[in-house]
Amino acid sequence: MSSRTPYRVLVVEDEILIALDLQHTLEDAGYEVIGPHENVADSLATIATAHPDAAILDVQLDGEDVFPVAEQLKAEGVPIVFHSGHAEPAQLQERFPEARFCSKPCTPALLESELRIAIEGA
Amino acid sequence: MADRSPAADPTEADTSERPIPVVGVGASAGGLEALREMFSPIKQRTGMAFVIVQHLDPDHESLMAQLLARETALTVAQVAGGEEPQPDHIYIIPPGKGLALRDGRLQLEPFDLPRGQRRPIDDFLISLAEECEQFAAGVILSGTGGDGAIGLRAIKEHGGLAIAQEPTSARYDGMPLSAVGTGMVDFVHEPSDIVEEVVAYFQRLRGSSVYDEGASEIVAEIDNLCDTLQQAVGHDFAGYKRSTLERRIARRLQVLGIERARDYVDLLSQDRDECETLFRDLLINVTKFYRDSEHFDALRERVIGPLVKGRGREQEIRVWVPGCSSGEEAYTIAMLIAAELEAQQVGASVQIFATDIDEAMLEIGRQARYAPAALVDLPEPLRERYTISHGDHVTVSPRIRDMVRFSNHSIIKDAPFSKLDLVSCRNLLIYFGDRLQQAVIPLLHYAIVPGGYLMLGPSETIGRFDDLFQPVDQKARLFRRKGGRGVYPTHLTVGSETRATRQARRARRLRPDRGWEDDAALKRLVDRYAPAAMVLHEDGRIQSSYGRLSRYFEFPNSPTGDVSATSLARPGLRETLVPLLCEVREERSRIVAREVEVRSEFGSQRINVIADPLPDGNLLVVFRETAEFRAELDEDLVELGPNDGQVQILEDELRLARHRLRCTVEELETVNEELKSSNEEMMSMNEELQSTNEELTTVNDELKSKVDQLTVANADLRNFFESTQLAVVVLDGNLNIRSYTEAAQQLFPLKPADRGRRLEDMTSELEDDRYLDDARSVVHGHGPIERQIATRDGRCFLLRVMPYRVLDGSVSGATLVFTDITEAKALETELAQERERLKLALEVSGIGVWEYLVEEGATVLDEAVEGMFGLDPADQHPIDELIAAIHPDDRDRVEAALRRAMSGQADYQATFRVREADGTERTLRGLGRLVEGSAPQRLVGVYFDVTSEAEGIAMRELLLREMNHRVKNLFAVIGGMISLAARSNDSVTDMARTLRERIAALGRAHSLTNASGIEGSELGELVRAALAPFADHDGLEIAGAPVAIRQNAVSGLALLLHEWATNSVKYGALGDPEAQLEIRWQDAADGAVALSWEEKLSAPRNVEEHSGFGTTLVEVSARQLEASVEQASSERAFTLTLNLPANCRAEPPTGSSS
Repeated sequence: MSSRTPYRVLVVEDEILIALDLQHTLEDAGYEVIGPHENVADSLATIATAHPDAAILDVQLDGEDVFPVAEQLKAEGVPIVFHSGHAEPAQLQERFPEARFCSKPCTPALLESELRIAIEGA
Repeated sequence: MADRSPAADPTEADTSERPIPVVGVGASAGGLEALREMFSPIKQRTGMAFVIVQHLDPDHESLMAQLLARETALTVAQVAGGEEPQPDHIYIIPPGKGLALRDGRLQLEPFDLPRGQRRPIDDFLISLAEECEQFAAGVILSGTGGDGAIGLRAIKEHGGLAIAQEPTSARYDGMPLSAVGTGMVDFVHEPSDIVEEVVAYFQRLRGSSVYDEGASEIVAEIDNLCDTLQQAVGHDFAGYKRSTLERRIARRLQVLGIERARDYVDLLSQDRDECETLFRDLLINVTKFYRDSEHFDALRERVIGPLVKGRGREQEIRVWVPGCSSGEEAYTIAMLIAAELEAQQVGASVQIFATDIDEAMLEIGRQARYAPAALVDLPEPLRERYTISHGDHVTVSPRIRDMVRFSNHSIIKDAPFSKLDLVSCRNLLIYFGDRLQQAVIPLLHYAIVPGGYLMLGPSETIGRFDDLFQPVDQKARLFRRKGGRGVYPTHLTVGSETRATRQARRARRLRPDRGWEDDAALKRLVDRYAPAAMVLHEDGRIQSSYGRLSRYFEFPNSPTGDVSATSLARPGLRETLVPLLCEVREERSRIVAREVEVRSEFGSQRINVIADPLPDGNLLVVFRETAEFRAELDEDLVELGPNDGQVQILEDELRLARHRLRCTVEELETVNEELKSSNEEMMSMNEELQSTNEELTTVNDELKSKVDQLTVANADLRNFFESTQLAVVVLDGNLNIRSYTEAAQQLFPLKPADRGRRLEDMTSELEDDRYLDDARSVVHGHGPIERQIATRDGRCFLLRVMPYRVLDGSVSGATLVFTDITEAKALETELAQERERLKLALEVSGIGVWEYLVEEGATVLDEAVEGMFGLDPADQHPIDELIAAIHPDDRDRVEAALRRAMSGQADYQATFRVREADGTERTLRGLGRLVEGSAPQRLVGVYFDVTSEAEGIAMRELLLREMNHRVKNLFAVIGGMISLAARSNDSVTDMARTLRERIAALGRAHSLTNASGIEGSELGELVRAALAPFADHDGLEIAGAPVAIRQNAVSGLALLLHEWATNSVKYGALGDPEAQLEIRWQDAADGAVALSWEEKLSAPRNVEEHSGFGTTLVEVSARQLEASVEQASSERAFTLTLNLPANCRAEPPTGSSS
């Protein structure tokens, strides 16, 4: 991590423990974490003001899908890494061809590397 | 010539305008074969009607129509009477009836004459000739006798066509030969060629170009024709009436198929036979006995009566019938005169000269043999007295025959007869042109004695010669010669050269060895220097004479030829000549009678008479003088007187003897005639029977082959019956047993002898006898009856009672067929049970059966399938109806599966959704298989409802996905916990312990999931599970109404409670055995739940509490639960309050708040 301003990463995850873990992992890696948010509404509100450089999204939030958030991010050209235990990767691939995908549970290293690919590829 | 190709077939066109040609076909013995040959080659339309007249036995049904119909393409029918002849039809005479064509219809007429004298062919042909004239044709085929010859002549006289079968091809050549013998036949052919010839002839006639245009050409050529004819036959037709000549020549052209008259002239000049044929054709005329009866009545009254009156015994009545044809008229006059002579008892002799130029006709006249049809007009007394019936023909009695002399003589060119009392010249002048007529009348005037009579035909007159003849009866055309000297009309004689030619030709034809006669020197030698001689016929008629014979013979004035030498011989020679001729005839060697003295009124002469038989059967008689002629002296008269008287007596005796002999001979002849007549009747019957026999033989052959076929068929049937092992009993109309099969013996104790017994009388193995009633009603017209019937031993039979029909369709009995159906019956029951079981199974399992008729695109569904697809009950449903019911997303798949199944690649298997009428969806599974070898293709299979299974599977998949998610989430949570724990724990051992405890707590909480059967977990259970490791703590109290916690909240709540419990062990109540821990919860406002954790300690609480990972966990968990945690503590008490929001609950709070 150089002297440049750290990348700002939006984390949307409804499982608090996982969200915490992600936050720690990303911060340890030198990212700045926006969130974590647990639902769509909060996330959308944040995107509008915070303009993240990237996002890690859980697909299945408590009772809702994260897709409105993902669509918004896609529209703004923000690279996305999906982090989920469900949902077929194929289905996501079709809808968000640029996005990366990490299946839960995954190691911090893998997640970070995916995030980096996503950012650099953008 | 008309084009014969079918396209231009004139018969196709205007049949209505022109009369249909009718072909009369006469046949007798051997006729069936000839008729078959004649009609079988016909392939296309002929445009003609054929009428077959066959001699048939009146007592037998004729099968001719059936036999012939098989051979020909034409329509064949036996005449029933009243038919109008149609083209391309064959009409056949029925047995026992005569046939005639009158007023355009075929009429059946009873025979007038007894069997044996009938001439059905002649009768029909005569009626046909009169009805159809030139559109009639007569065909004579095989047969014995002469029936048909006269009919052919009638056809020919009316301008029709006459054909005879080639006699050598006929099995019996009598009829064809006699037809050919008339000289009237236009064609002689094999039977197979006849129809073609007739068709061609009538096409030429219908084509009519020959008839119309050719006529003018004929006019132009007629003089040439007459010249040619005169050269050839010596008779000049130039003076004949032109219209008649033209018509007859035109007909001849049609027969020959010659188009141009010029060509015909050429043919005539080359072909002598054709000249003869034309000659005869030109002379055809119609004649009959007593034709124009009123005229002959008048003749008898006004001419013959006066003529006979007052004639002495020695006076002769001389009559001439020129143009006599076949002599009917001459004989009629002879009969009239003979009758008159008898009536007036006058003994005058009668000489009737009948002359014609047609030798064939004259021959008929000489034979005096006629068809009965020719005599119909002859008054009964004359017929009875002067004719003799011979069955199929009639002859004129010898007495009349002797009165008539036939000779070949032309009224035009030969010198006429003279001193005639009567000339009957009927229907001759009509053939002559004016010039010739003008010449003939004076000639007749010359020939008739003054006061003699002339009779002409109905349409003939004497013209302007009323100075020669005066009418006696104008209507009857009777004239009387006026007085005055007759002038011999010299200008009639024709150039002698032609005459000589013809005579020479005739002489050659008749006596080819007499060519030397022309040698003048020889003639002179014979006439002057040789002894007088004579050639006599075997019977004594003078054939010719040489030298001066008047010394030995007394020649009468008349120039007749047929004179007996003995009757002319002078006394002396006459006595010698008779025995001499007799002897020579017998001995056939030269015999001489010496020193015969011949006496004449001038004197006597001694001669030797030598009789020498000639090779041709004639006798040469030579008279050689042996002494000088002695003049008659008176002394001789005296001397010879007594001698002469003795001879006279002898002669008288001889005459008497002759008379007696003649009577006896006549009697014998009569008997002989009768016998002949009987014989002829027999012959004719024989012939009829022969015709019938031929038919029967043919039928018999057919029957024989039918019998063979039947035998085979019978054997087939018997084998069939035996092989089926059917019990069959055949009954007749009275329910008597007619036949039965072997298998029937197991039901009835039948024995061969039982045939003919009543079935009623037979015992039977059957339980009831209703079969008898059934048989009875079937015999009385009931339709087939089918019934099951049981035997006493428990077997079951199917009884079929069927009417036994004979060929005409009427019922003449009944057939009882018993089929053993015991096994079938058992099978049927078994099947029914099986079916019932299957049906039940299908019903219970909700399986429906369906059948897809591939080619029709239709399906047959049972109720269950109809219900599944929501279709109304129907016999068949189009496959499209089923497809339409299938969920649109599944249709392609189902159709693909069907196609695969239809192609036979795989069985049909498909699971798909259908939308019900009420909008719900059901899932169906279909199985099916193409029925192997089915034609048309059929697919049979089942459908069953798999909606619940499908739903179960969907649920399971959902659960699995959920579980998968949860597990992965749990791993992620645990992963997170580990990361977090690593940040806060100092020792690995501690970290491991606390982590394990936490994981255990999580595990306990999750084990509750699903266990309670509700979505999520019950709060009390969760609390107890979290505190389970401390359950043996005495101070622990847990209480609260059941509250359902949603699944998402379970992990957080469990971790939170675990951390609290862990802290409590370390610092609070759970680490203090004396302390108390009370955990309670209750509903709070807005559906929230308030949980309180109160610790009451026995010692002051260790407050050295630091904010470690456990605190973080509590915070995080609470945040996730969106719950708030309040903490209150005193020295010996510690209270935690957790406010769970309403969204942690799985369901809205129930009304109770306990």
